[in-house]
Amino acid sequence: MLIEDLVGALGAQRVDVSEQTRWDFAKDLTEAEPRLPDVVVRAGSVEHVQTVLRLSRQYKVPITPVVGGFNMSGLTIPECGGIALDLSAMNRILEVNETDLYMLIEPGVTWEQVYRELGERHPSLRFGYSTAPPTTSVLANGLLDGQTNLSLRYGTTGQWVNGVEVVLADGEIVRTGSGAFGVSWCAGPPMPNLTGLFINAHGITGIVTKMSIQLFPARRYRKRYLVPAFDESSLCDFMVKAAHEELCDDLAGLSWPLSKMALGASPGTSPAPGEPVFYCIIDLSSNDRAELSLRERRVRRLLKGDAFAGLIDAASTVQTFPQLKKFIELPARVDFLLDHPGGGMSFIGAYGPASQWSRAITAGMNTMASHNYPPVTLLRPMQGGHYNLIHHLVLFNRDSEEERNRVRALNEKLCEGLLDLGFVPYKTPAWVLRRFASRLDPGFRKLQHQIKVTLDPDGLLNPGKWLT
Amino acid sequence: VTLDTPSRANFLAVCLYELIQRSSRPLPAGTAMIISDGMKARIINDANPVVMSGDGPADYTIKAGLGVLLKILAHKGPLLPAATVRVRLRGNPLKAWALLRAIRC
Repeated sequence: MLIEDLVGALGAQRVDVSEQTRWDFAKDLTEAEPRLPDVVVRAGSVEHVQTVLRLSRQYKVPITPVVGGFNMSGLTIPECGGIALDLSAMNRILEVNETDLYMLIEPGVTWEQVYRELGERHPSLRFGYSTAPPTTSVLANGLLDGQTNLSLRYGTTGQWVNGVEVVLADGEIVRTGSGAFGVSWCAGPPMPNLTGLFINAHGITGIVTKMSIQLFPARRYRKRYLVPAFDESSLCDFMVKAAHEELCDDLAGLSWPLSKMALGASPGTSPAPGEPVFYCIIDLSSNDRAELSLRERRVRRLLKGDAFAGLIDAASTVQTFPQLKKFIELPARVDFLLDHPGGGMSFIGAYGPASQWSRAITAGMNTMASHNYPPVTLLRPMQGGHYNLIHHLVLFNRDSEEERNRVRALNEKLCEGLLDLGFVPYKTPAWVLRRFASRLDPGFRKLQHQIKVTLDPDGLLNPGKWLT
Repeated sequence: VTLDTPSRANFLAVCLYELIQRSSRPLPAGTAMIISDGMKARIINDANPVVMSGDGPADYTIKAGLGVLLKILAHKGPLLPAATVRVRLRGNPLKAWALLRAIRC
C-alpha cells in the first residue's frame, strides 16, 4: 500500500493522513473549491522527493507540490486528491555568490530569509521583494514569473532564473542552465533554455528542488517617494516615460483603496471628490549622490502638471504613520488585506502592452466598481517598460458561497477585458485557461500537450492545472 | 473623535483622524479646514469632535501639500522653521499652529 511504503521509506513523521493536516492543504485564499489530498508528505531532501515521485508512479497516485502555505489561483489545490508534497522543510540557501551575482536556493527559502541573509552577510548585494508575505517561497515566485520591486529594472523573477534542479516524474534528476555542467550556476546562456519547461508550468512537468536565481549589486544611496496622481492616464504616461528613460529602480501605482486600507480604513466603492486615484511609489538609487539628485530632478520634471501632487518623502510618511512601514518598506507585509471577515483574497494579475495599459486599467477598475468591489489595483512597468503589470485584488468573505460566486463572475469579466487588450494573466488559474482555451494558438496547445506527455506520461504531476 | 462616513472618507481625512486618535494633546476649539493636494477635510472640535471629508464652513484654514504636511508632522524640532513658506494659513494662525502641534507625531 502507498501509505505503508511512504512510511517505510521516509519515516512516520514525514507522512500525515490526519484530516486536520489534509484540510490545511486542501484550500487556498481564493474562491477556488477545496479538494482534500489523501496524504500529506513532508520532504526534507531531494532523495525524499525522488522516493515520493517513484512511489506515486508505482501506485498511479497524483502528486501536488506545495511550499509557502499562502497559495493563490488554486494552483496548489490537489484537484484529484493523492499526495500533497510539502517542500517547506527544504529551506537552505546553498550558495550566495557575490562575484557571480546569484544564489542557489531550495524551495522552502522565504523572502524574509533572503532579506536577512543578504543584509547580515552580503550587504553588497540586493534582491527584489514581492508584496507576498515574507514567509512565502522565493523559488515558487520564480517558477510563477512573479513581480517584485526590482521588476522595472530586471523583469519578472522567472527571468532571473539561471537554471534549476528538477526531479522528473520517473524520479530522475535533471539540471538546467550552466549548472548542467556541474561547475557554476552563474548563467542560463548559452545552454538551450530547458529551464523554461518548468517556469509557469505550475508543477505539471517536474518538481523543482533547487534554483539558481540572480542577485544584483546594491546601491549606496536610495530614495523612496510617493506621488499622489489624479488620473490613471497621466500616471501611465509618466510611468512609461520614466521607464523608458531608465530613471528609477521601481515605479508602482497603488490605487486609492489600498492606501486607505493600509491606514486601517475600510474602503468605499468610489474615491471621494478631489481624491487622488493612485499613489505612485518611486524608488531611486545610485552609488553617486550627484547622480541620484539628477535622477530626482528629471523625475520632478516628468511629473509637472495638474495630474500630480508633489513628491512625498516615504521616510517622513513612515515616521508620521508607523503602520505604513510594513507596506512601504521591504519586504512588504500586506497582512492588513487579510484582516476582514472570511479572510478571502483573490486576484487577477496580467502582463501586457504599454500601449493599452491605461485603457485596460480604467476598464478593470470600472468592472470592479460595477461589481461593487473597491478597485484595489497595483500597476508596475516591467523590464524597462517592455511590458506592464495590472494587478486587481479582491477581498471577500470566503465562507459565503454567494460571495465566492460573485468573485468568480468578477474575475471572469476582468480576464475577458484584459485578454481583449493583449494582457495575459500570470499565476494563471486553470479555470482561466479552460474558459479561454479557444483563444490559444492550436500549435501552442499541441506542443504543450506533447511536452506534458513526454515528461509525465501517466499525468500524475499536479493534474487539473494548465489544460491537463 | 469620530470619522464621518468612514467608507467615503478621503485619504486626507483618514490621515487626520489617525493622527488625532494617537495624539494626547488638546485640539484647538473651532473648525479647521485642511486643504492638501486636491483633498479637503475638516476637523470640527466641539462637544462631539469629528473629522469630515470635503468642503464646508471653517474658522481657520491650513493649505499645504501632503508631502509638506507629513514632513512638518514628522519633524521633531521647532514647528515654524520646518514649515517655511509652503504652508498657507487663513483665519487664526495661532489656532492653526496649535492644531499642527497637537497632531504631530
